[in-house]
Amino acid sequence: MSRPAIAERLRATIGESRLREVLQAYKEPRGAILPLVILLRDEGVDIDADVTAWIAHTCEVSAAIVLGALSGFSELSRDLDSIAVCEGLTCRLMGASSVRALLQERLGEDRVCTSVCQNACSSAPTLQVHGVLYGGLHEDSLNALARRLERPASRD
Amino acid sequence: MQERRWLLEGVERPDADALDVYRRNGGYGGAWRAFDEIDARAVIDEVEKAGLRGAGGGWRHVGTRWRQAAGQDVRALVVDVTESEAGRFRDRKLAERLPHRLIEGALIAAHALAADEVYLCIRADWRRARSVLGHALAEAEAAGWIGRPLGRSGHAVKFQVHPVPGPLPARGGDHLLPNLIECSRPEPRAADGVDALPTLFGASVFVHCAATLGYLPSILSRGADAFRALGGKDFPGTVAVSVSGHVRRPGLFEIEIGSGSFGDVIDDLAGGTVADGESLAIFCDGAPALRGEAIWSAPVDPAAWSHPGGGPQMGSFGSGTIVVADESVAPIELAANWLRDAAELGCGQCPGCREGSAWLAKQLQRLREGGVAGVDLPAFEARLQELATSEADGLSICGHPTVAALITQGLLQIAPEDLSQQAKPGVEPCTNDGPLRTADSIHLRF
Repeated sequence: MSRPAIAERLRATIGESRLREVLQAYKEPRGAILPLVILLRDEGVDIDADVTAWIAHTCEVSAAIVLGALSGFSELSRDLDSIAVCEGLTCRLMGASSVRALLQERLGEDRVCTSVCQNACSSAPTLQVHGVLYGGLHEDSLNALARRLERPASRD
Repeated sequence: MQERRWLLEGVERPDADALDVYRRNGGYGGAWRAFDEIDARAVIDEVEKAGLRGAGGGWRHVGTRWRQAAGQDVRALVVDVTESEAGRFRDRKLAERLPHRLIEGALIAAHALAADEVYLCIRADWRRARSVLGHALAEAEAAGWIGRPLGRSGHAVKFQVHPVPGPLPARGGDHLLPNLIECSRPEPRAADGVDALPTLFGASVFVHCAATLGYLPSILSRGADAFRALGGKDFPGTVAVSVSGHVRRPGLFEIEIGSGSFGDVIDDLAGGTVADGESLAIFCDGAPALRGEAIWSAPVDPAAWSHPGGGPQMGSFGSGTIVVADESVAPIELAANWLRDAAELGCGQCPGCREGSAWLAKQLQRLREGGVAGVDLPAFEARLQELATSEADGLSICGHPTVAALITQGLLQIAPEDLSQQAKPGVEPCTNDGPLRTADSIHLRF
């Protein structure tokens, strides 16, 4: 896809008025880098090299600045479909490793990753998938969740 | 012991996050008083009279800080909704259940500081909290509370939700969030002076923890005297205690400061511990971990702790966060994991985080795995002590390495023999990988 076409797709995804609003909220356009990244991610857009270049252009900085900002977000390097098991202190005490092992067995190792403390510790153990937090997990609820998250077998 | 709600008032109401529910129960009354009935100077007087202190763990006087900042042309208020402390879930809960209380508190603070903009910096991965807060801002804007001149003051305050990564270094200072908004590296800056304000795009800004702001609506509407009547002389009011781990009913409990011990919170509010043996309480802001009876004599009162109150209880009270573990848990593994996480979060500007914590974490991990030769225990302990005093010795520009070391030391002191035991040949790895556990119930469910 050409650069103008990518820009048009991303502008349409965010919406012109929302884009203007975000850019105007900051004294310098670079302030809008993280809000734009997260707006796009929320819409299921992978933050790849093309998207990074567009954000850099829009915010009047080099792509290196955007990449630097992204380096703090470990979740951005994950697949949108991945299941992030919280490995905070409380979740570890409440059996996070068992949660991870059960889901890896059911859904495959690649699908399951770990996350930093989600600060929902009263509901430990917790996990997050597709932006939704699941807490108070036990074996039955995990099995039910695994059934829902199973990808349909591909047709050869 | 009973709950006493100021910060979390109305948290259990159905649709507590909706503007009409919040308004029906007196919401935005405090902001209206601040913007229409009294001037900004009187707001500062009221908050100073209430004796409100920062709820992020520093416990600095809010009113006094505002008065000092008032002449410094504060352009914006930056609100920390990131919970940099593991085990704490208070600010996330506030954003998800009482977003209008947070917005109203920020409005009042912005007015007192004559700031025209508020940046609500919230963890990007808390999708629901971000969404609830964004919706609440839209409601408040449509109703004319934000973005337009308000009351007789005519002061208009604009709001922006700013997503940030997390967690951030514990006690990383007030400069971290402005750095993140500017898309600079998320690291503390060396301050120009004790009272120097951080800057954002060249203008002075004021940084507040979300929970501190959550107290302001009630102080303005119910009056400073009512707040001052609770708690102690130097530390009035309430504190919201996050309790999680091996208790029957984990949750967020707001109690009057000084009304009991952490053990009382566990027994009376969190349903007690799940096992009969001696439990371990881990404080997540620099206090030594406590075991058994000591938990029942540790007061929920900052005045009684060496930091911030200068009291006899050793360590930092922090923001009142405890994680409870039963006897089956090996402190050395908790310490190894804690130090590893802290080492990964350090920005590396100072020697403690650049070299100390990473080396220490690696040694402790080797000890945890057991049966390894070549770990120099005296050198390990000496370097851990250096890290613990790095802030006081002027060797670090923030408190992150100190907090990491103090918590690690506290956990290791619970079972000091474990360290030398783990260094012996043939010892099994020390692990807390246990079965799944679920609490009987949850107080204020996410």
